[in-house]
Amino acid sequence: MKITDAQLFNLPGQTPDIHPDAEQLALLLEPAIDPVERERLLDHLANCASCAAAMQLVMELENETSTLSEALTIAPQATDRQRNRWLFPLATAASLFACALLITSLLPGRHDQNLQTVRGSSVQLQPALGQVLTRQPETLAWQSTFEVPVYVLLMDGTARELWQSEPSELSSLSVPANLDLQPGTYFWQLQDSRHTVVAGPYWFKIE
Amino acid sequence: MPITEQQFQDLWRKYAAQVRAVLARSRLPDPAGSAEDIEQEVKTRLWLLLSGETKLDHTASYLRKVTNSAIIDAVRKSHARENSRREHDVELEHLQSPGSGGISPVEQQAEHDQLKTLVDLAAQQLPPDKRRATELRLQGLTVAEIARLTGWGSAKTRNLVYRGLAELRIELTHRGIDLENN
Repeated sequence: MKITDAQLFNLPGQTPDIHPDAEQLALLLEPAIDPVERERLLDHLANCASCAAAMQLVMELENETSTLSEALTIAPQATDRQRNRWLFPLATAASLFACALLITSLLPGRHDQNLQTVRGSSVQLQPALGQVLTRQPETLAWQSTFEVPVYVLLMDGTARELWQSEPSELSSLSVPANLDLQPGTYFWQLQDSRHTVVAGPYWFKIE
Repeated sequence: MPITEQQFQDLWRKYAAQVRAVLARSRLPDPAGSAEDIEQEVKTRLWLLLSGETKLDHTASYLRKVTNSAIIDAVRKSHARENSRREHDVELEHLQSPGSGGISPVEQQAEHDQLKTLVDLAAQQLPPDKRRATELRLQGLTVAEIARLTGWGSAKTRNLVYRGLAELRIELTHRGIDLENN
């Protein structure tokens, strides 16, 4: 029997009758997925043309349409302050950058790039807002004035959740070395146990 | 304060246009139908969430998960519909011209199934990571997509894919299948 490479890549795909839930399958895009669960889902994906196509499309859409969830999240808050202005076509990074700049302008501190911190009256932010780093930061530090334990949520430039820390009452946390952050822009914020953002988003860049 | 319907519609128009643009160059069997399914599914789920009065702290990552789940469900529905249509067409063609000479659609399907089985058996002979990389590549995923899903680095993924495919070709040759480069 003779076949061509093209035929090999275009064999009619099989679609099993049973699929993982869409929510489960989407976990494959989360870096924090349990390795056993990842293997189970990949086993299915390798043998299911339908789910493989779905995941491929999700990844492609994420690359190109990441502004939707961000815009939907930001929209109602902006409307409270400046009705009608939130509709301006803000890209994800631009939106968060604007938030970050606003926070900076409210802080009475000064930027000191050498110390990699922003200092002010009881304010210490690390890495400094918008700081360009050559490698992944070892620590994230912030103002310690919260009355409840908070946790850090670290996201990439498309608001994809990369890491969520354990709740802590400290004012700094170590970034897991195995996150292996690649060059790009990253955002982080502090949230309380009800997922309410209590500080941030802050951003830094790795070159 | 929940998002207003007008606000949602304005955002949605932009997103739907982007979905259609991506689908237009996708390899889905029915891009137009899929686009309609996806738009409907994602729009409904997001609007139900965002129009609610009770829960206002939806984070971007949460909305992203909801959107992704909706897309996966919609694509799978679209695939199921397309498979069912294809099976129906094959049966219909067979009924209309059962002995017209040449290879019938049913025979063609059987040949494809046989080939797929042989490829699966050959892939099973590969070491686990190479097998995983090769199977995902044969499903149409790119090296970058495989790297993202498996958590492997891009260099490792590229190696596994290329070496896996090379070994698969050898396994197929052992099973009497000659692969022609084209």
